[in-house]
Amino acid sequence: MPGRAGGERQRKSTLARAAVQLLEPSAAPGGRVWLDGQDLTALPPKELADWRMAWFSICFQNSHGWLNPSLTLGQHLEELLARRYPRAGRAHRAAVLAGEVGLEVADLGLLPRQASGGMVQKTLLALALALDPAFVVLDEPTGALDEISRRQVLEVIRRRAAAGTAFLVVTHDVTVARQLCARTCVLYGGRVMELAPTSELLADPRHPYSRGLIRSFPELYPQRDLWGIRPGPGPREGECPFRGRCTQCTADCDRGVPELADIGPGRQVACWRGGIAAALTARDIKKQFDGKPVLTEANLRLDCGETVALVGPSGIGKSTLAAILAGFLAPDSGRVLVNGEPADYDKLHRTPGGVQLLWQDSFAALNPRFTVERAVAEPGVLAKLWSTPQQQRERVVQLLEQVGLDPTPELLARPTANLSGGQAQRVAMARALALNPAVLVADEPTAQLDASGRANLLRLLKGMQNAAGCALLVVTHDPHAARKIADRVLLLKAGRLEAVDPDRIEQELEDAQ
Amino acid sequence: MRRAALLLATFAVIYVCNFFIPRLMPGDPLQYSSSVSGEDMTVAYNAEQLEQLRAYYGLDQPLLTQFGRTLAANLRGDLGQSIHYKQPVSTVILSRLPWTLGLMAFSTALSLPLAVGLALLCVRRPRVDKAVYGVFSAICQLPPYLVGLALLFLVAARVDWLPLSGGETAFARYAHFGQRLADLALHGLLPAVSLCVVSLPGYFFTARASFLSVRRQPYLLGARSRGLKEGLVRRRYILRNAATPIVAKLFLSIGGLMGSTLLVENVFAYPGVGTVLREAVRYRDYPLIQGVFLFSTVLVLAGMLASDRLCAGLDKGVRHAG
Amino acid sequence: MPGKRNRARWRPCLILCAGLLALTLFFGWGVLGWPCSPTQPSGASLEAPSAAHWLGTDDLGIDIYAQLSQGFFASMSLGLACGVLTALIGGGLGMLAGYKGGGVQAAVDFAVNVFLAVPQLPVLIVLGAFWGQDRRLVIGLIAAFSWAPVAKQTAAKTRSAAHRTYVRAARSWGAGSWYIFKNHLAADVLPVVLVGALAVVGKAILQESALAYLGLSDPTAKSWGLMINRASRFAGIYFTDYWKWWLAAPVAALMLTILFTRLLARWLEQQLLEGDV
Repeated sequence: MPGRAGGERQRKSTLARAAVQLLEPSAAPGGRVWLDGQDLTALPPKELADWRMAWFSICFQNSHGWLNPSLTLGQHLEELLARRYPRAGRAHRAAVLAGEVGLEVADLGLLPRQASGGMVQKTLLALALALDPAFVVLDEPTGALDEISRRQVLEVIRRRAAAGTAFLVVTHDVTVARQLCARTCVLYGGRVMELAPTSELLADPRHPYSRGLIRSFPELYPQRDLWGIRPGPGPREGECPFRGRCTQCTADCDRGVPELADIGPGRQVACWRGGIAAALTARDIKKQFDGKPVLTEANLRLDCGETVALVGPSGIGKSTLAAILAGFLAPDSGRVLVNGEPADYDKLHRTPGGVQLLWQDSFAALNPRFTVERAVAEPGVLAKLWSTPQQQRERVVQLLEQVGLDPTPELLARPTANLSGGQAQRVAMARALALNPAVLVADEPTAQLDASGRANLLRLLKGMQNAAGCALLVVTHDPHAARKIADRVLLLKAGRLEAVDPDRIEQELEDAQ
Repeated sequence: MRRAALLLATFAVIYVCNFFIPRLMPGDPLQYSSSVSGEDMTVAYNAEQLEQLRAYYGLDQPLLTQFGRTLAANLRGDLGQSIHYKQPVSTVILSRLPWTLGLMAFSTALSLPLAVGLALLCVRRPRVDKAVYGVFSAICQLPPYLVGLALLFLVAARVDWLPLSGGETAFARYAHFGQRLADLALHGLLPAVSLCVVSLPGYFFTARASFLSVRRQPYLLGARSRGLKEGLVRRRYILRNAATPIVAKLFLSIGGLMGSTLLVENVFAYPGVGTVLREAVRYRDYPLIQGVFLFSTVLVLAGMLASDRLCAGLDKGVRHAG
Repeated sequence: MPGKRNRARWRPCLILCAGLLALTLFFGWGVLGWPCSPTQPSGASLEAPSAAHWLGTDDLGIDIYAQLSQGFFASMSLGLACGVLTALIGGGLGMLAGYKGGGVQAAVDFAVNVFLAVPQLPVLIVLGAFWGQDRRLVIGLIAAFSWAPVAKQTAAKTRSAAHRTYVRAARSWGAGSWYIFKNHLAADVLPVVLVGALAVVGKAILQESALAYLGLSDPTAKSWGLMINRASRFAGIYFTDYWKWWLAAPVAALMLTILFTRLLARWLEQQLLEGDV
């Protein structure tokens, strides 16, 4: 029972209809569909019509439009049952079906426009199941249902599946997929991005699109702030369809459409980089000060485009680890890989796509004598990114807009000493973003702020990360902040890192002390 | 310990420099220096003096041998022979030293209590503080010998009971010790006052800063909260706790005071090391100049060491208490 | 309102600068426009001040105003030269030590501590006795014993400035030493050097006069110290009126000059250094 998940307009329904050969000829379908070894595309239309509903069926996305407005719901059922059952048993059979999907017998007498959306949906499902087909395509089967009806419908599908019917569920509702489907296939831009056992997919998506999609469900991440995949250019011909929004795409990703490739038992992903890539990997980082070990064996993997919070009690070595990962402190031993290569921080700090640190105190990180423009331009000037003053000005303006500042001439010319606290933070962020880092490390960004300032900063930081698509490591001692913005939370404890359930951060922090 | 090592190294560097100075002059240093003529400093060493100098400096020996011999001699307390006084340098210096040390002590006895008293007053009276602070910051770099000169012709020349120069009345016979002491004090008064004017601001600033920092301590509020008498609080809480930096400053300023004393002595023709130094300079009595230099260096370094010990001891005590 | 505060802030500086300018003009006239020679007798011995000799004459009949004027420029040029030398040596070494750290810093620290521990006046006397006849050497000697405190303060300031977050950030982006110095350190460090050097100007004038007073400087230069030296050794001067012009004039000129430079240095220190702490 594969489910297919995908965002809006990822042509799930098209694929579903193609599977049952219901596309208009104008759609010029290509490719083939096999069912039990029989090539459906090769069947003559008449034979195909005979097989419909009996061998394979489709339950459309809920709408009155699928039903004949002058027939009652019951008449629809009986019409179909007539293909197999004698007249005498039909009414009984219809009642049984109605009971199975949760319709009252009385409802069967209603015309489609008199029925509620839920009734229509249930009728469509009953129709699809009426002739006990071996293969059923369900297009958003629970879209219009209330919670009780939903549970009923899912239960029906589950029972049928247990009895041997194969279901293809098309849905954008992750809980449906989670409750119904053994395997899930993720579509984007009309292409399969990832195929995996549903539980594995939800716990550990391997394609940036699947990950972004799954992490956008508040059902799965109730504590976290809601952030979707960053907007960007849509799919283009001849290259990876997700490229425009992908946080880990490289220049190589335009060489064509990636094919699905095996990446593990039952798992396939279509990505030129072989699925989600690690932006930064730290292995066995050790560091001691004055003979006192601070980090004994810190291991960390930071994937492209994700936000990870590093929590731990004060004085446990969080900032030390942050400084090591950001390249401002050398570890005693251990290795740091950035984009799969041993980290050469001199280069990473100075080139786009590298590693940047967002300093704890933004005022200290800004020369009070510099103007805003000069401060924001400094990284690019030093990296010799810009050849003309216009280019520099344009990029500065763009960066300031990115961090939510209005780049008026007055602001550009203002000394950073005269900025407000919030503005200074934004300017410091613009500096960190100037080189488009692949990894951004933020060391206690909210340490000196009141609650309101903290909230603003966290939203800004997360929004900036989301838009820029960099991997973000936030060091904090605040469990609530960590829960709010992080995709994953790591706890530093006795010199090691361990993953923490976001709901249990407080307890873990207490234990660590 | 580190600090002591540093001071020792400093002394070594100074000592080596002192050794090399006469040997680094171009040509024959003795010939060169005896040919230089300052204003009314007609110096012509006679053959005997030249011989003496040569013997002291041992210029014909290899450099290392010279250094070894000088070091050995100095360690024995032999700083060479003064050319002008025709006596061992150490004898000359030691005979004048009590005058200089006495003058330094006298001026300190004047300036330190005055500075501390003023600071105590200023800490409590902001208006006085403003005036005193301004005046002191203006005069704190006045050269001591100018102050001496000014005092000399503005005060001493006007009144007849103040002597213009010298350390005591020549050929005087004293009926008893008190009379002699009064004579000495009278002669030392103006030099000491000029030194006092120059060193007062330094002590004042230190004492003021120290009092201000003590005043901010919670234990002072604690003392007041227990209703202690103001005088007691001032003595037992403020003065006692603020004393260390002031005493440290006292030791630290030995160097500056030494230099000022050497100059002021000349203004008043006071029979201390300073006037000897000037005579030595006038007659290009090199062994004597170097002797005075070495001597004052040791004194200054010892003062610094004492000040460090004092501060270290205080820190330790505080840490112990905490 | 800010303009008003600004004016009040600058007033002491203006007054001091005007004072120095007035001294310069006064003594400049004495050098350029005054008919009397500073070296040749132009009147009778020990004349009282008059229209012909504004400040009278000394025992050799040489005009005192002319001598004093020449002495002003001698003292000022010596002070300025010492200040510049100090700024170069002390500022340079201090910045180097503060920026580089490590061995360089240890070496400079040691040198600074040695020079700070050396009692200045005795050492100047010794060196002056051996080498003091040459004016350039005197300048060198005074500068050699003035750079240590400047270097110490500069090094401390440079060290603290070089460890600021924005400097570390700039360095991570590939900023070279010159870039960092020019853009991030200069504005913090140079005022320290400037204040230190300005303080040295006054101190150098004073030390030179002290050396001259002891007879340890170029005997042909008309320095104020030498004038004081000669006047104060004129037998019985305190019992005559001569000291009123012969001695008081150079003493007053010296005190006034030193007072102005000293207060200017102090004002600058307050404006530049205490403001941004």
